[in-house]
Amino acid sequence: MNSDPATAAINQEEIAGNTVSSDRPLQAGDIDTLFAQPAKEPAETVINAVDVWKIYNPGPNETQALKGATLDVFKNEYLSIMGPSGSGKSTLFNMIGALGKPSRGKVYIDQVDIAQLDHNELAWLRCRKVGYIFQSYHLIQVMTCLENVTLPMAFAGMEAEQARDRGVKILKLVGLGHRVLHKPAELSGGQQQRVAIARALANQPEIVLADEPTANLDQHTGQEMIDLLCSLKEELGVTIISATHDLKMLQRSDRILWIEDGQIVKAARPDDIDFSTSEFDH
Amino acid sequence: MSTIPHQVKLPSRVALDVVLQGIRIRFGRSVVTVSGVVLGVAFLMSILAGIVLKAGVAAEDTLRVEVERMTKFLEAETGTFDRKNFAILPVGTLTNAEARFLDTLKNTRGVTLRVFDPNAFLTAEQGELLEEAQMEELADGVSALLMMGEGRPQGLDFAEVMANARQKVVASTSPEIPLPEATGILASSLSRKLAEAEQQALMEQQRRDRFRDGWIIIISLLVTIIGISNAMLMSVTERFREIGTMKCLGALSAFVRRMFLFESAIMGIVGGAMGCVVGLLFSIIAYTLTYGPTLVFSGLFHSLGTLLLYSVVTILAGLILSVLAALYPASVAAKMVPAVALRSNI
Repeated sequence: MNSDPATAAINQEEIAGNTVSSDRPLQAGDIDTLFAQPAKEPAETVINAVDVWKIYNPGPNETQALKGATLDVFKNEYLSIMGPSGSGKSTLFNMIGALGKPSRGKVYIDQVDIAQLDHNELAWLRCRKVGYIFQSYHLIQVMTCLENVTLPMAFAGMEAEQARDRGVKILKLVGLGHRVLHKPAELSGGQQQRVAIARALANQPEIVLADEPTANLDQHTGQEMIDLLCSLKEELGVTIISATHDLKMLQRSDRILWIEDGQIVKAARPDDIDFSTSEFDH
Repeated sequence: MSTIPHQVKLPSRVALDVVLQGIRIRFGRSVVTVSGVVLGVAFLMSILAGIVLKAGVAAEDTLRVEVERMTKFLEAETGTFDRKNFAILPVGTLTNAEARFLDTLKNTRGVTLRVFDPNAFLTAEQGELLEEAQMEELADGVSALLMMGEGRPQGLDFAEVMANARQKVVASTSPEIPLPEATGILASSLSRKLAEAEQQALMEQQRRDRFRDGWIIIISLLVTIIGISNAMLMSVTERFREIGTMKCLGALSAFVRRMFLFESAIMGIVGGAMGCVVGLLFSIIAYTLTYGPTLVFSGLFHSLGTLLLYSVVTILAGLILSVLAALYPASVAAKMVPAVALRSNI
């Protein structure tokens, strides 16, 4: 599979339980080793949202964040969601990521109605099935990068030693091998976002939900993150849902949805869109 | 349709590890929280210990006045104690003041004491250094016969007993002991029975003191509750987002609750123990500066049991209040939908 001798050597090290010794750009083999999982057949849906409403502060001063949003997310798809701020993007993210309960309507993840799940099953879902990348990172400030990344593994019941090794590997994968024991406050915004991405990948999720993952990254790192997300999708069948205004991300995605005023107003494939039009003024 | 399994329940050890690591990492913040507990408990303990010390000082003071009066009264009847013999006739177990008076006599230079104690009213320690004698020869050559204890002498002919005494003085150290009315005998009560009105005034004073102490305890308890709750509430609410993040990463509510249970229990015990010591030391130093070390420490010695009880009570109060104050907001945060906890901005 890997003819490159350098990559082969690194893979052998990883198999032997050693950590990768040098920082280098992401290579295809790394993902195989870390997320050993066969690629899955596409086409079936992994998330269905049916007429989802979300109303904050019900009453005379209520805010309708979502007004009957309906969408299907296919397995192994890279879906981008666009919308101005206040359009209900983040609320939609919370709903389809099982982080909040819709006021009306249903959200199915893998055909399971998440409203029917108890807190225990929801915790399992959030731990293993979905990886979250937040716009404001939400790293635990008092923990080191490594501890932030190994926390979801601890919640999944992984042994500390094993989690540590895996955490170091994932951090190297996102290019932070040299910052493993640093606290988030000692890192730049882009580096913190990379820790957040590493944390989202901790338990080999099937779905990665990313809220503006490249917003705080420089061009080069942003490109690397897109490459990383795309290779996860292609090699492991991970489904990626991302809110973004980044043209590069939009161009690489399989499908783009527009959300406006709490409703999905438009869907398109990147090939059908002229990226120079005013639709991207938001 | 796929089924969703249950999330693994992590052992308590994991929660404890996370907690200890957290306390170590945010040590500065932990110290601030613990100081809140220390201050609360120290305040409560200093009030409680102050009440105990004050009572000890007052009791010791009364005792000293009483002993001094007995000594003075006896000296007034017999003249100076130098080279005097006294006969001791215990008629019951001795009160604190009587025991102290006996000690004083024993330690007076040139005084010899003789005792007749067939009923063993005196303890072994009290009986030390006393010459044992029979009733017939008890008062031979003595300057006074002292009846001590809470009881009554049985069928004594004082004229006969005191026949060979050097000075025919019969004294009692308890107001309950009836004094003989035989001719030629000087009977004297060394104790002072309080008049009805005096006794009532004293009881009234004690009642008022108890009432005031009760109020001070209640108020200090309130201050402690508010102080500790405030410290713990702050330390938990500022971590709502952290709790929300943990929930997003798959933490169970029970795990979050257990984490905060451990954390608050550790802080409560450490803060409680430190606060207890600080409060006790503060009280002892303050009372020593006011009343002098001898008075305070002799009183302290007699109330060690109470102080120990209060120490346990205050440490438990610190522990329980910390746990309650932390667990309630932590449970609220743990039950929150993660999206809400993440948004919370405190």
